[in-house]
Amino acid sequence: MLSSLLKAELKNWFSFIRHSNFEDKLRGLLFVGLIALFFISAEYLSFRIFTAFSSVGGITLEFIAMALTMRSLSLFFLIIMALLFFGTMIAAIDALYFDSDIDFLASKPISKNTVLLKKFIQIYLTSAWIVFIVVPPVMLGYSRAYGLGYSHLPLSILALFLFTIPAVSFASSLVIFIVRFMTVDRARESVIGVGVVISFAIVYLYRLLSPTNLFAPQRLLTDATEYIQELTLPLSEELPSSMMTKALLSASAMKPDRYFISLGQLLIYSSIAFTVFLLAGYFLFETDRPVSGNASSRGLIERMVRFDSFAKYISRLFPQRMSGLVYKEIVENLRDPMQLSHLILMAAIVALHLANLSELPFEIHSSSKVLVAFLNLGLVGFLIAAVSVRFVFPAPSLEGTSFWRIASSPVDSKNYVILKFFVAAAPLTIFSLLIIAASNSFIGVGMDLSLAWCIASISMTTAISAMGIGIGFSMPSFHKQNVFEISSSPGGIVFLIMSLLYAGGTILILVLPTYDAAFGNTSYLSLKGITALLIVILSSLAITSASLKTARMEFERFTEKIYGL
Amino acid sequence: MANKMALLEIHRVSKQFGSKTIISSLDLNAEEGSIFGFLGPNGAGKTTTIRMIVGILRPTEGKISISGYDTVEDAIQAKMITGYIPDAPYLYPKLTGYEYLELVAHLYGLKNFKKRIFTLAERFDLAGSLEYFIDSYSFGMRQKLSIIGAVLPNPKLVVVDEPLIGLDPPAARTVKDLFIELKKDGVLVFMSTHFLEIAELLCDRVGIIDRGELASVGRLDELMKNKNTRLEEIFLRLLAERREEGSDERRRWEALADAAGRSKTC
Repeated sequence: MLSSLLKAELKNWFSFIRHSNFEDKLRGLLFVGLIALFFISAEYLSFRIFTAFSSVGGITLEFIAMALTMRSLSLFFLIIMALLFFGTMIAAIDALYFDSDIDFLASKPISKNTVLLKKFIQIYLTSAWIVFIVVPPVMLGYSRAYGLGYSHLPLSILALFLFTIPAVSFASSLVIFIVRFMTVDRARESVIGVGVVISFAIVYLYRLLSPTNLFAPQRLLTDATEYIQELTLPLSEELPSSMMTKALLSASAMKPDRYFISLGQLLIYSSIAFTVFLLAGYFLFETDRPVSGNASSRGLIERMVRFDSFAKYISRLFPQRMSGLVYKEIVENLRDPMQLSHLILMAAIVALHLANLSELPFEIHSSSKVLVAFLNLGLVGFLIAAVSVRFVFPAPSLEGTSFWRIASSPVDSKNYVILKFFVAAAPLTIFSLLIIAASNSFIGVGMDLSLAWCIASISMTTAISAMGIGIGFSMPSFHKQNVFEISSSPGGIVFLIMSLLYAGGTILILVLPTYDAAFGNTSYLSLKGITALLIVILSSLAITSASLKTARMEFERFTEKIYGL
Repeated sequence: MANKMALLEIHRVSKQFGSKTIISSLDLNAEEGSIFGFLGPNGAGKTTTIRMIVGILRPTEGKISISGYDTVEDAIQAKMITGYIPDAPYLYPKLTGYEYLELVAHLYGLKNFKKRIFTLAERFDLAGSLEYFIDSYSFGMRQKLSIIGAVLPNPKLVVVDEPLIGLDPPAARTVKDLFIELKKDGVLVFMSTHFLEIAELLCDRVGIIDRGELASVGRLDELMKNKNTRLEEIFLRLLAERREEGSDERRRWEALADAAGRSKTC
């Protein structure tokens, strides 16, 4: 029975690929190309980091190098695990309670266990695939840095598979457990709570693990004992991230006994987690759980903060014909628990980042200040891309089947696209400016630099938002269940990679005048600086204009994509 | 009838998706102050035609105009006087019913719309639910909301794709009465339906579309020359005649038409 259900899913998938037109195939090719580009870049970056670890401070100390590597890998796997857990909760709610096949499965003579297994495979594929894109390049970079060859990779991938099972199983079980005691909608909201807990856990672990130590090997010369002690402080041995790290290290070092011990630990962990999922499913899962309780009741957060009053106030700033759409765009985003949880997560990360900056030793040399502030600008670009992939790129897809309302209303496509862009770009610009202004004030850089980087940040935010709208209209995903799935669709990944490349390019343009400002003690507003800023502004304008034009052209074909055959 | 103006003009319209032709050279007119029934079997091209009329899809060839406004060239003006009720009422789940209708009012530039919203909502027994989120509505409630949204801006043309699906008997009665009122007010109701009894009851003229081509069009009383013949039988016989002589499909349609003829006499 399970195999028939999976076969049907696979057939559906292959049929989709077989019947896609030339344009879709081209987009698929672009997607694969960009994934390859990401793979190569991530492998290279990991290689450089591990190479740096392998020869700390010019002296090769295998012990220190191994401790550094272990810490960084454990931290990496811990973050992957936390994100996978959170992502799985979102995917599980949709797969178990909102998916279109739930009614079909419930009405057929299929055992509950079969339904649960089918759903588990679906949840696993939806949430864990990204781990298999992100982790292998790090493994490859590590192998290359230490000259370990690649024969251990199949063993490491096997460990990675077992490593992902507990997060997916426990998160799915938690969802089933929560939904048992509340409506599915309330459960969605409670995901926000889990998001907040996870963000604080990340903050806590980040501080506990003191990753700054990884990048301060010079301390080895001043307080070596303390440094070594901190590095070798055991990370929680009970966490799968630690087991995964050990499995990878022993597989690559050709130490089968240690590898199999770690693999065995992971296997036990996965089995327990999967059993918990099956038990939770068997005893607590019901396909007919109420989706929403009292229809009039707003979410807990909305009862505390009235989004509608805020949205109404903002929408009044627009002409009447557009104000309704502005209102809709704002409240739909803020009333979506998934979006709100992501916003809270992002806010926690930004708060952490600013807190870290505020604790920097400010007696550092002025050139270092400039460099730190410059790195911060790069980080803002990265952050804007990450936020946009959740809030801007999905905007066209979210219209989906409701798009008939816009398409049949007297709305000019140009105004509509500009409105979508504005609703995305305005908050993002304020967000990025606040980070830049706060960071620069903590770091204490000059006015010229602050001004220049505020301009650069506005340019980046504008172009990335426009790219989000353009690619959102070009590569939409209408049939996804939630924003999380839309942003991790091929279009979302293409957008993320392109926006990261664009942010990287912008940073590169600004490198030369920044170098002069840092080490030549010249003002940033020199000929070189102004020229670089002009290039940044012009490239941003060009990308914004091209993206919005693309969005408008795609708008015309959008309805064909939704309502065509 | 002669002094009535053709509000909707469909002139040699074709629609292709890739290499597949869905609508082929369709010609059709419908007058203001009437109800036009657009009938056809599944996959005949009814919904595609309707989506072209309301400006969701563009014709590959030909022209559609509403009150003289081309639906492509003068899309905004054409849409300003058109209301649309789709077959499946996909609405914005995170808006309340009232917020949705307010959005519609804003899109059409309406002023002082609050009273009209509540009047229409009361008529459809929805006034008490307007403060609820749409995602808590049943299918029927969404359909009612969609109908209110279509007539709220006082359109000259109301395009309806399967109007009665999901509605309870009181709501279905309200919809029928509403269409008759709209007709009296000079509005053209262009309606696609599978319920031939409804078409027989409400429509002044019907057009039958089959495989993307207009098979027949005319006043209902002209089509039903023999007063004892029902629309169902005419519809089925017409479709049978368009199938290949001696084919299984033709035989099936003929058998169905005969059965429809017999059931009338029972």
